[in-house]
Amino acid sequence: MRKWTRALAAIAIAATMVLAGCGGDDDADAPAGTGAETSASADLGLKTPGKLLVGSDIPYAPFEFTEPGSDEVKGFDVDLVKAIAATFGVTDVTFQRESFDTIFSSTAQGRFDVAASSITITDERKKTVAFSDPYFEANQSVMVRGADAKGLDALAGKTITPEEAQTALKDLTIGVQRGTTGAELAAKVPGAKLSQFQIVDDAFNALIAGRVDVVLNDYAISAYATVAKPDLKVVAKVSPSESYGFAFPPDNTALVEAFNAGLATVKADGTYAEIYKKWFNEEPPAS
Amino acid sequence: MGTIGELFFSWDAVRPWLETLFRGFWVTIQLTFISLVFALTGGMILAVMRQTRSARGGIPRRIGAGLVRLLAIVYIDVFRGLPALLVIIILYVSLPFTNIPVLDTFTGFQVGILALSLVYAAYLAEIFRAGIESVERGQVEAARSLGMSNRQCLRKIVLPQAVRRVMPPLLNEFIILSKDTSLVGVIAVSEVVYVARGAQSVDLNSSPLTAAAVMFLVFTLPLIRIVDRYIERDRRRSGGGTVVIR
Repeated sequence: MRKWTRALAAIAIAATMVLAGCGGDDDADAPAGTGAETSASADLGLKTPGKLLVGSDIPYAPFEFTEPGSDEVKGFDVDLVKAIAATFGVTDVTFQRESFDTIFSSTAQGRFDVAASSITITDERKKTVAFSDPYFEANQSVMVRGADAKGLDALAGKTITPEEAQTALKDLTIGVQRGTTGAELAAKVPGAKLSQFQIVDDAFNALIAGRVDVVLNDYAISAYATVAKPDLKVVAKVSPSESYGFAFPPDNTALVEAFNAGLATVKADGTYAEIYKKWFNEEPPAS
Repeated sequence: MGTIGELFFSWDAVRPWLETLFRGFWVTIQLTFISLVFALTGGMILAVMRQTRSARGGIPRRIGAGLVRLLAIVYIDVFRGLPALLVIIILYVSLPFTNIPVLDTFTGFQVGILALSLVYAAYLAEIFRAGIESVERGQVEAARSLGMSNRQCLRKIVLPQAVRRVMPPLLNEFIILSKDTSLVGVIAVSEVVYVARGAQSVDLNSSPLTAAAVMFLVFTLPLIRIVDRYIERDRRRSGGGTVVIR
């Protein structure tokens, strides 16, 4: 019996040491990283001077995705970030994959310079990361199977408030991507069952398969998906609209300012409108 | 971002999620035990299939036995060679479109059990096979010379000894199975790691993950101790002779 307890204690101690060790590493990394940034490139605080490392949850078409047979990341966010980076002389832009539910902690820890991943600006998220000016206006949207709309056809073509959405979706099974504003909205629907997926396309496929009744997700992405998946249709937008922003480590104000200036430049010289037309086939809304 | 204590061991961050976490752990336990029952059954059937031999009888009977053996070998090899995660995802995304009755309406939870059972049946079959082969040939010959049929000999002489000898590796596999249930989280089944990760992504605090880790340890540590005791006991009794795979 005594040997038993001693062995258990040893395992417990070992486990604690491992846990503490990991935590300690993370803790030590952050300040060291920031230190290196400031000394290497004092003006923008990039992790590697002259290179912009972008964290993004891929795929989220048409904002960031890869085409079959290629590793090259494409999309609205990609084009826009490259255009903005060019305004302050950085042409080496690398997109790095990061899961959306961890993207905010990773950004705050400085694992990349900026997160560009169709991120809605919220007060909650502002506590963890710094945001650029808004670069895209987005609505949440209600998506259903064409064959079985669960009575949501009545909403067709409408723009509804979050409260109306909560009533309409009551007691349904809702598919969302984890960590998104769609997931936050879905969590407030009374009696609803939530299926949270790692990739938004899994939610779309679950809808086709009939595993969920409805998908709550950003309008532009859902609308784009219906082109490839004609079984699905978006019945309603949810207002008020949300704004996408780029997210930065909270201490890197220099890069935020550079991005804001760059965004203003590309909006003024028509580059923004060009990129917008390329991906959404329409003129950007007047702002 | 706060001290290690706040990030990993904050009771305040865990408390609001506690009920969710326990419900998640209950799902984990269900996944583990239901899959185990199916995998044990399937594994035993596969192991016996793999041992099928027909010394007597005509050519058709020998071919039949060979086919049964081949089937078992192919199944075991394929599922031992596939990552459980891949099996889970393949089944989840494709079953609803197959038009196979019952299977095409499987929920994520049921798909998870099916996938884990398929994979672990292959692992357990190999363990059972090792157990069966560890029973000395002489015992089989003795049983046969006493007039027992092949089947009687397998059921009354070989399998009881085989199962006892493979208890430690079986328990080991059971522990690994309980941990592999966390893979089912990718298809949105609310097992404990999945809900803990959800909690972490809302609060940006890792303490719910720590709580999930503690729940797992409470479950697995006693099992680990039991395995070690088994091995020690067997070693004392026979001076070796237990089978350990993987």
